[in-house]
Amino acid sequence: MMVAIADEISGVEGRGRYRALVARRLLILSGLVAALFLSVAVDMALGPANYSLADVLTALFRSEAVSDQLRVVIWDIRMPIALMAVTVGASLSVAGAQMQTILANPLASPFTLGISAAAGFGAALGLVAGISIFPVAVHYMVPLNAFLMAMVAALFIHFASTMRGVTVETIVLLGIALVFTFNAALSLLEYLASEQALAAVVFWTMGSLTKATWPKVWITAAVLVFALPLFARHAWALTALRLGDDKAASFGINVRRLRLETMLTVSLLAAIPVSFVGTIGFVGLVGPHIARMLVGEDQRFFLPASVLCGALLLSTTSVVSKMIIPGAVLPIGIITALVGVPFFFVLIFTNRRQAW
Amino acid sequence: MVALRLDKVGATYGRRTVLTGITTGELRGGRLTAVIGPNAAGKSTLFKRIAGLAAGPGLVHLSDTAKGPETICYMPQDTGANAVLTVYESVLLSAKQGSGWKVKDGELAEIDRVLTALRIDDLAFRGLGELSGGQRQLVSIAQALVRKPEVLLMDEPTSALDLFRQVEVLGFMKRLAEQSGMAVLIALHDLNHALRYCDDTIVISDGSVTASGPTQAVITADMLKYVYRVEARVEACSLGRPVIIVDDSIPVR
Repeated sequence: MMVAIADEISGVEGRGRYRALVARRLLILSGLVAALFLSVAVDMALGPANYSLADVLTALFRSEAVSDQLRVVIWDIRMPIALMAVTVGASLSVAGAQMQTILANPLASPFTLGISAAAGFGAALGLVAGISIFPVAVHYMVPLNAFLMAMVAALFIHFASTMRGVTVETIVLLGIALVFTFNAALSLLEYLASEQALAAVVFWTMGSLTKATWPKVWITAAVLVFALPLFARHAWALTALRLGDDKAASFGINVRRLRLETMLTVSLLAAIPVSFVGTIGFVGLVGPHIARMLVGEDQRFFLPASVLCGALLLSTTSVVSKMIIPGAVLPIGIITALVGVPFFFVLIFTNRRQAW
Repeated sequence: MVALRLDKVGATYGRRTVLTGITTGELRGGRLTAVIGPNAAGKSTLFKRIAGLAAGPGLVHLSDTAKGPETICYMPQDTGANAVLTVYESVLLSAKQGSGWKVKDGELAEIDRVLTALRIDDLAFRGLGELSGGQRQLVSIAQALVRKPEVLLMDEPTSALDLFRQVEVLGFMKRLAEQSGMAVLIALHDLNHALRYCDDTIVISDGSVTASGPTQAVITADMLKYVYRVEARVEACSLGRPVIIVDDSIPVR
């Protein structure tokens, strides 16, 4: 249709520049993958018994060639923790990325929308009062309580979004109200708790990867594997949401349905990791922002970049948490912000392009 | 060539009725139709209703030659400024909705053509957030054109443009409609532009059609008085073209 008017002008330059932009983004993604592999390997090498990277790689790829002790340490103790960092970081970051996308708000994340606070309250119910929301073996009481409360918060946000006249701004406000409510309820439980229970709650709310086990890694990974294709299928539509509801609708997108479907998947994606490792607030908020600064908001790049940035952020944090005090592993929730904030500041202050 | 006809079309938001009984003659392809009326008269809602983005009674008839309802493209006023996307990506985004991840050379060539035609190819790799309101409006037009619609509903496409760009864009749309056979409906506030560029005009006031037909027959001193509450004359300029000269507003009693 436009041929008649602009046929005489060649548009090769734009096409070429776009291809170069894509190539640059693929390079960034490859760099993130390489950095993640390195970080996971270092994470597995570090611990009370320090192994070399070569030992770790041999144990990973030729496990018959290493001692039983090394094999057990790497495969049964360190790898679940290292991979838990990857899956939890990835899940929280993607959850945050999609919350920010569908709510058009840079402050949206599992933490700021009250999902983490609700999980904390659920865990405390078990740890302080011994209350099991869903009667199961004592061993699973705390994570299940945390998961159920996180889902209550997430579904509350979800159903609030289905109500007519509720805007995205209202949803963010409701989320913040949930944070205050659950934090107050948590404080009440802490006030009433015995010294031992209080210590357990405080430790839980600091977030820790040491609770990682293979089943937890598999469950977190499974939810991620379930969610990512759903988001990928809607990549163009989710990107278009960032142009505003009217514009997205004019592209033929059912905005309401997309927002609700995404919110439901995001709820699961946020609730599972939080219930396993406790409150890790920073990744879900900042992981997506770092991804956005690196590759922009085209979800074909933004989605994998969010996965990788979240995973890398938490994996690096896991490494640092082992290095600060030799022989001790500091709670990862504390370290995440301390590692991530300086990096985030550097990105904000050196990035001349728009960050939101 | 495509043609569009509205038959007792209405629109509702919840229980609130915004439009009632909008009926038009055939709005044919290759022509520009101005949709005019005071603020909050229902122009945007009418466009949304035609595009299937608002609910309501009545029928929007498309000629049999049209590709289907998806060939109607609504270009909203909202131009979405804060997405971290380049102009090029934001136009690609419009072209690729509902299709796979892979971007073909032909699709990129089309984007290049549209950006060049609108003379915004120099903005292609600027971030949306770095653009002025007028530049964003031009990007918005590119996003609409790249979808290759047969019916294009443009909601105040020139409101943020400088005078040169207003004239350029309207002239471009007129030539494009004539060459491609696209039916273009444009919500406008500048009635002199309607007189200059639009073949037909529909006047919307309080949610219903007050007048419709060839632009020069519709835009009259009486219509301006009744719908816009201004004392005005429609006179021929030295080139013989009709222009509106506004004398005064009519006080609200």
